[in-house]
Amino acid sequence: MRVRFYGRLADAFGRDCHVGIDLPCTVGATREQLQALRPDKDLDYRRAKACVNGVLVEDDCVVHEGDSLEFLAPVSGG
Amino acid sequence: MSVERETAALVGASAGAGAIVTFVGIARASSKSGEQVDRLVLEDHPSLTRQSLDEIAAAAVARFDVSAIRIAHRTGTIPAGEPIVFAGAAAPHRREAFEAVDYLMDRLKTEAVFWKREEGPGGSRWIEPTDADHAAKERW
Repeated sequence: MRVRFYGRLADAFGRDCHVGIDLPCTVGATREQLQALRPDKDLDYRRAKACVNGVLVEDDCVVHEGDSLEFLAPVSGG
Repeated sequence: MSVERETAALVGASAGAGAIVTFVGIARASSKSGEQVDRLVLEDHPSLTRQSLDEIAAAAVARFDVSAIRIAHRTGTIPAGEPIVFAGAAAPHRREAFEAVDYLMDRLKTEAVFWKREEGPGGSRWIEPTDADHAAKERW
């Protein structure tokens, strides 16, 4: 599954990252897989919001084939 | 973004207003720690950025006696010294217009969905809202 990152998260993971995970899966499960790839980077849900198909979601949201999943660093504001 | 064009659009939408207040934010040439900044780089989200700006504008309309609100925000690379954001309000009276724009900026500075980097001779640095920005928003 392709995951997109915004803000400083993209520095750590790249703009897009492929995660080997079976779908459907929860956002939380994907977050854990990504965290395991970069244990030195903070992907805690309080610091990295998740967005599925353009909508902010909680970690219990289920991601299906064809969905877009994004993780957003804390915003800088305008 | 053109400050003149945004101001003209706000004036055009402000029939009957007794006051129009505008604010323009400029990309500073130095960071808070005094390092030279040559440019800001602003990243946005395809849908959440517009939503955040619309929500902030709608909240200002609901909260203040204004006849028009206008927000315009640049993205991408912005050289130091150039405008970044325009925020304006039209109202029957000046007090509400001033307060509405103050409110818009306090919320934009902490909630608008952008990710900003300062770039200069010293390298690149991500920016997050300051304690002062958060305290300013809490006034409302």
